[in-house]
Amino acid sequence: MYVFPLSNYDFLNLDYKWHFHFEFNAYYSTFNGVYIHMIMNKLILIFILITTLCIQDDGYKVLREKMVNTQIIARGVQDASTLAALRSVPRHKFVPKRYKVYAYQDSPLQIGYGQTISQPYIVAFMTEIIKPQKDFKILEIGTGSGYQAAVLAKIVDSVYTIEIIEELYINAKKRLEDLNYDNISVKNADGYYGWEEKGPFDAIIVTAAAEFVPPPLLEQLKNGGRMIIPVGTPFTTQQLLLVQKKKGKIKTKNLMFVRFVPFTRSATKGK
Amino acid sequence: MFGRQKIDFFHIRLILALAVLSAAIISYEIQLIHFFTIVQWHHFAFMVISIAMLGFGASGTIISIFRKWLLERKDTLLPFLMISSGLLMTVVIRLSRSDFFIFDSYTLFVDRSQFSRLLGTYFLFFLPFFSGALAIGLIFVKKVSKIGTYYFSDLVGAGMGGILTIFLFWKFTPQEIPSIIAFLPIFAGVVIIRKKARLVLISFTILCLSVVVYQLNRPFDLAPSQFKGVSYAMNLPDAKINHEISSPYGLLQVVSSPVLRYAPGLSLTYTEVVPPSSVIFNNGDWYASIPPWSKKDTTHLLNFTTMALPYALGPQNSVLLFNSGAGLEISQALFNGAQQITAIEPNEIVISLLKNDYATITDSLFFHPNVQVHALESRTFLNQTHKKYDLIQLPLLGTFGGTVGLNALQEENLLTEEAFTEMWYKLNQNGLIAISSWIDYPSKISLKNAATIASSLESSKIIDPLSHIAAIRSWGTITFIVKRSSLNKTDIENIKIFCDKYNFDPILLPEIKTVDRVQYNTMEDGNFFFNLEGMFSAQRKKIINTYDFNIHPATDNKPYFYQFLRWKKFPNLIKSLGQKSTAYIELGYFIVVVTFIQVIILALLFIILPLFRLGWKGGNKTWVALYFCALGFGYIFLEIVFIKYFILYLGHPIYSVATVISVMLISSGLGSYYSSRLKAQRKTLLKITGIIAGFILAYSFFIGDFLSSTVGLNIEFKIGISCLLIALPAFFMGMPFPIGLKIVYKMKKSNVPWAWGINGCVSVISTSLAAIIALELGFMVVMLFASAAYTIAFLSNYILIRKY
Repeated sequence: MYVFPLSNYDFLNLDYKWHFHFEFNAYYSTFNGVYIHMIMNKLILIFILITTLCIQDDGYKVLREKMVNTQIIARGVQDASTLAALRSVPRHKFVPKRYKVYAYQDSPLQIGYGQTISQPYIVAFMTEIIKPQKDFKILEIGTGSGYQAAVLAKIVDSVYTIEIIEELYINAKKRLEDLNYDNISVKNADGYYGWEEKGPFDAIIVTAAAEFVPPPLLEQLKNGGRMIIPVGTPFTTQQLLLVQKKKGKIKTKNLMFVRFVPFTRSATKGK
Repeated sequence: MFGRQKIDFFHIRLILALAVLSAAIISYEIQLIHFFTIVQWHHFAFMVISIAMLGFGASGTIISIFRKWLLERKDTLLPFLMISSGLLMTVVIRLSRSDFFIFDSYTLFVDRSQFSRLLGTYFLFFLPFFSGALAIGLIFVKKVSKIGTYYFSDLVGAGMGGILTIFLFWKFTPQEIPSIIAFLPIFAGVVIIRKKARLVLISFTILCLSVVVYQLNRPFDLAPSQFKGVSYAMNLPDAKINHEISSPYGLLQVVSSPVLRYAPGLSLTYTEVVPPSSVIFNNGDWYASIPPWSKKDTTHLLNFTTMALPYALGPQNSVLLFNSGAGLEISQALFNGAQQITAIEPNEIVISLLKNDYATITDSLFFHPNVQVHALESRTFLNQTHKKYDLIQLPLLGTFGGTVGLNALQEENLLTEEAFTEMWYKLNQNGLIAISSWIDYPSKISLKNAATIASSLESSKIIDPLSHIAAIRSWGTITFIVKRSSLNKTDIENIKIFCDKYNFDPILLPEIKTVDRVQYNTMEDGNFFFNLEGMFSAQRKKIINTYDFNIHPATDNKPYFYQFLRWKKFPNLIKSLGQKSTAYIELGYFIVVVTFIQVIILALLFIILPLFRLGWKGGNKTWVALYFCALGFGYIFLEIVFIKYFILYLGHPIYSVATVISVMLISSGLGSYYSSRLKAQRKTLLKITGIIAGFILAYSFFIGDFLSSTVGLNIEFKIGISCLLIALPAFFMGMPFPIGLKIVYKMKKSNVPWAWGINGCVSVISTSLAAIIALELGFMVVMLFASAAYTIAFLSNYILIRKY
């Protein structure tokens, strides 16, 4: 009998410029792959959720507190305003219903269209790194679920956020309105152009990965401002780039190796 | 039973049916690779299809256990199994796209629910192969006395199946192909329907045909994973697919959207608008960006990237561009005044698109009088050309943000030490080689590039390599240039000016200071500069040997540039990255190993299970196991190495593979046919296996040099040489299986299906094993292993009872 040699697929696949997608996740500092530990965590999580069904909001508050202590402070985030914001924003209201139970887990979650709500630590890290102040005006590119914008809105005066995918924009806008975040403006547009009429901005957070830094965003960044941007194709990000504008000069720093492991419960097609 | 009057006629029909069925199975296997590459990634094709192909091994197990029962019903069963195989071919692929079975390979290591779906997918695709293999196995078991002829039919059919698939890929869509192929086994089944149960079987055939026709008219869902590049692109506003072409090169889609822009590693000093550009996706992955052209263009986007470094040193008149894609680098070279641009692009569909549908958008770039485009493998062109160039530019390497190891199994013949040396000698006096990559962290690609350059310069007896090299980095990319003559003061000054202008930092430059390296861009990897410089010092070997990843320069013998995994360091990686993350860091190699382990476990099960029925002793089982294992390993090992060698030699991957497979299988088929004239005895086996082992051993040492010395010949000569080189050993390699099977039959006929099953299982194991050996030890060792396998087959004959 004859079997076609399978390793020979390359003649059908001439992807010399192969692109594969990752995103970010900072597992490496605390996640040591202890499987039993993970199962225990899951069981504790489920137990906590069940026992707090009657007092739901308080239950989530407990989970948030645990998230901040074990995932965020433990990894070195210290900014008090960032920690306070993460303690108060109800992350479970920003994830699809079926993922609510996992909302405070140490991982990103799918929100459809190949997009995700970032891992809590990454949200905290990106928030802290731009050094947000009360009087800041911040631009966010890539609203997604609206969670990052909500965290920022707890700290600064005004947040402007742009989402390119219409469905995500509609959902995020409604969610943020329902939760009374009245200092957040949401727009459905191409983030490449930024939001010129509202600029310049004290800081810019790009949550959608890019292969280049859009020139209009640099223009809309105030002198002395900071921009944080994950560099990489949308799902393959491996580093966060900090862009600083000082006296007209632009400097960058490749901050950290980050990786995004999507946590899913069911396969979705396109959405 | 086969009646005397009809024996000859039925014999011919059976031979025909067997050939058609074999053709269909091989064709279906190849199209499955195509299918999985589109909807997932080809690594998962490797995993799923390996398991599915174990259907051959499983058929041997089933026939061993139920031999008598199956043979008694063979008249009905044979057509039924063939027709069912056709039906299953078309049905399972649609079922695999249903919500119940669909799995996402990307989330496999983080979402355990995906495993049950994967198991379901394994099971689905196992069915058509199992059904077809059961039919083939039954024929072999029943017709051992004429096995030479039937095996000939099987091999020739398989060879034709390979060619047929290429034809199908040109003519039909990926959704249509499984159903088209499904007609073949149904036809094969119908050809051998006999009087007994004719009505039932014809009714079944009509039912199956109806299903196949229905499937043809209702294409299944071919939506790729949501994590594939094309899925992202299609989520963008007003995104649309302008062209979709299916061919053996893959499923090519051209997507446009007003917000789709490409400017890899663009300098932060760029202030103009980045124009939208259409993007070519191949099998759902980004392939090339079509450079838009406008009369208003006053600059070129790539001039704002580190890739423009060669042009900062002065005009480059003759430029050689490898893997030029849709021509972005061609337009850059033209913009910078190049007079003779030679662009090499292996995908002829891309060239055709740019010459026809996208000629206007790109201002007829591919028709420009200064541009010559060749549809060829880049390395093959490099081997053949006698011209010298001012600039040889390689494509941007690495997935943006760093490779994830998915290319680990991809041979990169252009990124080997030998390829660099060849490029070096194709440079004019002041010529340059330019190679750029995305910055990855932990650093792998850039360090391997440096190691390859250093090693190549060393072999070219360059005493002071650092005087020939410059490297610069932006926030996202690193570009190396290697100059044939030493960099002079003007060059160094020009590089510094270029870096200052675009906010880039020089990282390798004669007399550079540490502070110059981090003027605009800093990074967290504190050891990077030490390791980079170390590549050009006596420390190189030490750094390479102690680094966490494999940054040994790739060679022609092991052209796996993107294979970074070091098993020694694997525990360290798990410790620092976590289990889940590690799986994603070097995914490609990881999947091959996972596949190998899965296949080994299942294969052992399929091989051992029949022994509970057949008994552990009797019929010289040790010899049967040794001999048929050795044949399975030897054949596939050699075939895989042949494919690797001849793709490089002939230059056209698709036709090279078609040539190797067809010539090898047809020659083996002829060998099998010829073996009918030989006596089925130990002496014959000793002679044949001895000849094969000797042939392969000689090839191991001489074929590489022989092919290198004749690579410059005309393609007609090269095809002739290839056919001869392949056909010679392949002819003999077709003999040991049928002769061996006859001896098994003489010793104990119930062992025949067991031997067939062993051969089937081992053929699948050897595919993964060959990949692992090639990655770790190189092609030459795979060939030596092939020779060793036939030597074992040879030696095993000494434990064969002398009377046979």
